[in-house]
Amino acid sequence: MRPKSGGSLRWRLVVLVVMFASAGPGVVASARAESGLEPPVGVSSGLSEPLSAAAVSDGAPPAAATPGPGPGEEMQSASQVEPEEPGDYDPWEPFNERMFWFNRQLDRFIVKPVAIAWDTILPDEAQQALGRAFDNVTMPRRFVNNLLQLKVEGAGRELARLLLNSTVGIAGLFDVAKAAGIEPSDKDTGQTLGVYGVGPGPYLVLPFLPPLTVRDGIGFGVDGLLTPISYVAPFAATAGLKAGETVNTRSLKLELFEDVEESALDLYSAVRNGYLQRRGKAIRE
Amino acid sequence: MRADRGLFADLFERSYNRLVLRFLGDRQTTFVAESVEGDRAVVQTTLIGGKDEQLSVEYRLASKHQRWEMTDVVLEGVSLAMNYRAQFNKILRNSSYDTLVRRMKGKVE
Repeated sequence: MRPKSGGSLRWRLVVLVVMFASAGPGVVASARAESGLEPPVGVSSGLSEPLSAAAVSDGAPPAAATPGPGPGEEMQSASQVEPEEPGDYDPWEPFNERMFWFNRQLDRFIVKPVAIAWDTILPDEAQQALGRAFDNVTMPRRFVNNLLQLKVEGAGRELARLLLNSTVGIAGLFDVAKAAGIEPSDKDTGQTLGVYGVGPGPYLVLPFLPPLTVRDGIGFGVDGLLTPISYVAPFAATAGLKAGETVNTRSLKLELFEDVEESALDLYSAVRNGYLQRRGKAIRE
Repeated sequence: MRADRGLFADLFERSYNRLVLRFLGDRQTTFVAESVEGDRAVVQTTLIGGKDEQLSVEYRLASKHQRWEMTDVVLEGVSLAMNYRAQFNKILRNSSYDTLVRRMKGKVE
């Protein structure tokens, strides 16, 4: 359900998002130019040093994982997948921090408790099936953006997945297409804009929404229009669907969110950086 | 500063334990690919299992003193080292180096 290339779908579904994705080179360049901040020498130089505490095997090439038949598709060399460092450019930081705080309270007092209850009632398999059904509904967004990014093969896979999963997979509850080897190809409008060279613009946190950049915010709006169910269903039903989706996704991520929150020294910048890194990766791929 | 570098290593190790290592036992790790360029290497893996089913975990290694040492872990496209650096920058900008060290010690201890 979450193949390597499909991870970026989640970011738009969650109210408070902890590990999400993206910055184009524009942000990095402007951050360096505008903030004029030198990296703190003593600390950041430590980052590039090998951490002896975390040393792994000696001599032999790395074998951190059990060798075995991997998915094998879309392999890239190390240099191609080198993460790009997002900058610190955040002109709206005071506003963003207040909104971030608001969303976090919303999560703490409403979304998370509901998600915990949800998690108690529904077995994991049911949560995963619902998650798949929610994903199935947003296929037009992925289909259109695959086409716009000239990923015709990806668009074809999305179409095949919709046809298979909506029928044999019972309204998308089961991912029979994936079992048949048809992987999803997750693309969204913010990503398409980025592929066409639109810079991300400043980072922006809005109430009730996941973290965004201005570009991804616009994409987020267009993606909403690319969910045709919202044309036919009454507003309340669409809102209910969205709420259900949010709670379901949150309950699938209870543990991960907690781990990230617990590990962070400064949660706002951890979330911001995580989001920007992942979006940058999604656009480069 | 020297001691503080060790502090970061502890912090990093702690996060890695919390986010990845403690799952290695009961989840399956699939090897995806590896590539070596000089004294640097990248190993891509996928952690399978748990509710969310898949987590991409990429290890960045450097060869030092005849052995491979981990320099970074990239989870779902997010480099932990870069993520911490962003947090450090923010804390240094808004507070002070002492605050940063105090917060790191607070986590590690």
